[in-house]
Amino acid sequence: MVREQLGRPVEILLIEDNPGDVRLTREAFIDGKVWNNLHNVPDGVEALAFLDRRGEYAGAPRPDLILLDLNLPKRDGREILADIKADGRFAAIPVVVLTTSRAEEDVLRSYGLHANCYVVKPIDLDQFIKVVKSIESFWLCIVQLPPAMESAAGRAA
Amino acid sequence: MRVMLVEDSSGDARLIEEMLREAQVAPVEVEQANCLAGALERLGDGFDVVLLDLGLPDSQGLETLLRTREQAPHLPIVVLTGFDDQEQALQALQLGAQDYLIKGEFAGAPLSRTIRYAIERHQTEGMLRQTLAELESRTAEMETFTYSVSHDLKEPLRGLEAFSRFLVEDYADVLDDQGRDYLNRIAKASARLKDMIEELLTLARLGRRPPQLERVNIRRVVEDFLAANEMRLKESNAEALIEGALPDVLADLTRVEQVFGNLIGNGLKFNKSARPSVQVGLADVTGGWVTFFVRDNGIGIAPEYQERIFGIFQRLHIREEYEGTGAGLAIAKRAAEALGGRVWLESEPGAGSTFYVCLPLWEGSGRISRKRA
Amino acid sequence: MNRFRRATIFLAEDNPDDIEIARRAFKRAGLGSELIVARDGEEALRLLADERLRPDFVLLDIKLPKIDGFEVLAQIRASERHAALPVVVMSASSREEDVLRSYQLGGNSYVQKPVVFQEFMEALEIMGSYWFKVARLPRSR
Repeated sequence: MVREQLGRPVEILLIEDNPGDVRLTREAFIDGKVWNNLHNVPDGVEALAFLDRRGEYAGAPRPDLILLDLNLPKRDGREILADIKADGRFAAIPVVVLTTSRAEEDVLRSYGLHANCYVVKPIDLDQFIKVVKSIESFWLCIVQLPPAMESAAGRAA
Repeated sequence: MRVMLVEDSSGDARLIEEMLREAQVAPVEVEQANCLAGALERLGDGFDVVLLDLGLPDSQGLETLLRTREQAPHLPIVVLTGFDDQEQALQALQLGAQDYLIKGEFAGAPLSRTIRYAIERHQTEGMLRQTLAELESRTAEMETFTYSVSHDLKEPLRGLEAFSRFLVEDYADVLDDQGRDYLNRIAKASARLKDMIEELLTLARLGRRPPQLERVNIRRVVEDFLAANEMRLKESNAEALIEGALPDVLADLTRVEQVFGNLIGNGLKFNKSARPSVQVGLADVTGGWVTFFVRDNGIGIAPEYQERIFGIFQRLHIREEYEGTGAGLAIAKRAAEALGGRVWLESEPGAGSTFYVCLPLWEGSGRISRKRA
Repeated sequence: MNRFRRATIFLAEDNPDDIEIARRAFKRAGLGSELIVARDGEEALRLLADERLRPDFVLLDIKLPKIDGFEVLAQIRASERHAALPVVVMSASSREEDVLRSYQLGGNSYVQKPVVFQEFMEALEIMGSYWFKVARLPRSR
């Protein structure tokens, strides 16, 4: 394992409305090598509330990583991506788009909106789990995730 | 010596001035102000000490003292107080007055002695503060230095490790046994170097962060550590127990995690029993300090070595027996001391070890106003 | 596996030892058929502007002479052609300010350079597997 231990679980925010996908993703992460907490919200409006720590999310932790489906109810995932990356408080949090669309247009548009990565959700269950595990291996084991802005500012000497 | 006498009663003032002139060997210049505002205006004028009556027409009680200190932090203050006001006088000392005198109870000699001592003490305090500041700055420099050196050392280490490995992979068959042995030793040496550098970095990193004091739930810290090391515990058939209730402490969470992580980890590591076991519990609560114990059924430590093992990179066992750089306890000790606490140990070879950790008790107020443990 | 092997990797690294190590690690991890190497920030920007070169993926060290890695990253993101090019910042530093700044400037990920070669290789294997088998990359232009 390459990156330094955080000393706390990695907080992951999964923005996904399909309960089956949520369950599979959760299972894959529970089984993972790195201590983590997976939080799920069913749409982009809830996601922004979670990030803002509004209402029922008052005690929510700051996510270290965001997994975002593009096809969401209420507000389109692409808009949510744009909102997150436009907000100085959250822009540095890596967003992995995890969605069914294979369209090149969606891929380009997501990277254009500063998504950190684009992953197509496989239809096959086993493949799905493999993909989530690969996400876990890379983003949790190898990558250094960005600190919250306040804590980094405190350390800059 | 120039004295600023802040006293609104002119009778009292004249008395004090006379006492001073009679008792002093060296010339004394006394200036009087009969209200706080007047005094504050002139305080910058090269005085050596302030005699301050707390009850003035434009300011009452400790407020008088605080405002004077604010205006002239460089001046020693001796508070003049009435017979019934001793409690206020004691509080004045806590708030920074050098001394107090009860009106009607002092004469010339004690008065001038008190003033002289107040001035001296004030100077000594100043020097002490300065030395402390220098010490802190030197320590911070050293820690930054240790950190950046350790960090920079990683780069050539990477080359060392990689190229010796490439040699083994590509040219092992061209070498004889001796050559292969040398290569192996290089590989092992660079692995050790890597571990030492990482421990140095941990130690230095600990020092760089100023302690962020907060209420820490020790039970939670231990439980989190055990959860994070679940696999390791299972694999070595080890058990770890928390005995009874553990009070909260006022400490820096990261440092507390360092302390308990190292002690529990060591208890499990230096352990030959079929069922390694570590217990964490409360040993004592006294005078604002909590003492926890971390007890193991491990191999124990002989008395003659018990002091040394807290030194950095001190190892008691040959490498082949137990892996590790020997910095764990140094880190634990350093972390505890940064919080004003202590770590010590009781142990006998073959009979396990008990480490004690003493930390400030969380008392709800969050203020630290106690002597070091 | 094919995309893995065929990918053109752009490596911006000033330390010749680390370049040699990376080359070997790529080979052993079965990653990348073509490796473009820039030894400083100026060379990096020059090579990236070259229309004949079409990198699929960038491994960028922050500590580069002449023009530093942060500036290179900023210019990559500002460019028309490479705005969506995946950039993994790979650095010896683990300083939080550096990590945060990399993400803020649009770096896709930040990886600390491992000290041990075995870990380096494993990291590249996982990285390669993730970026070239699992993730969808934008078409290089």
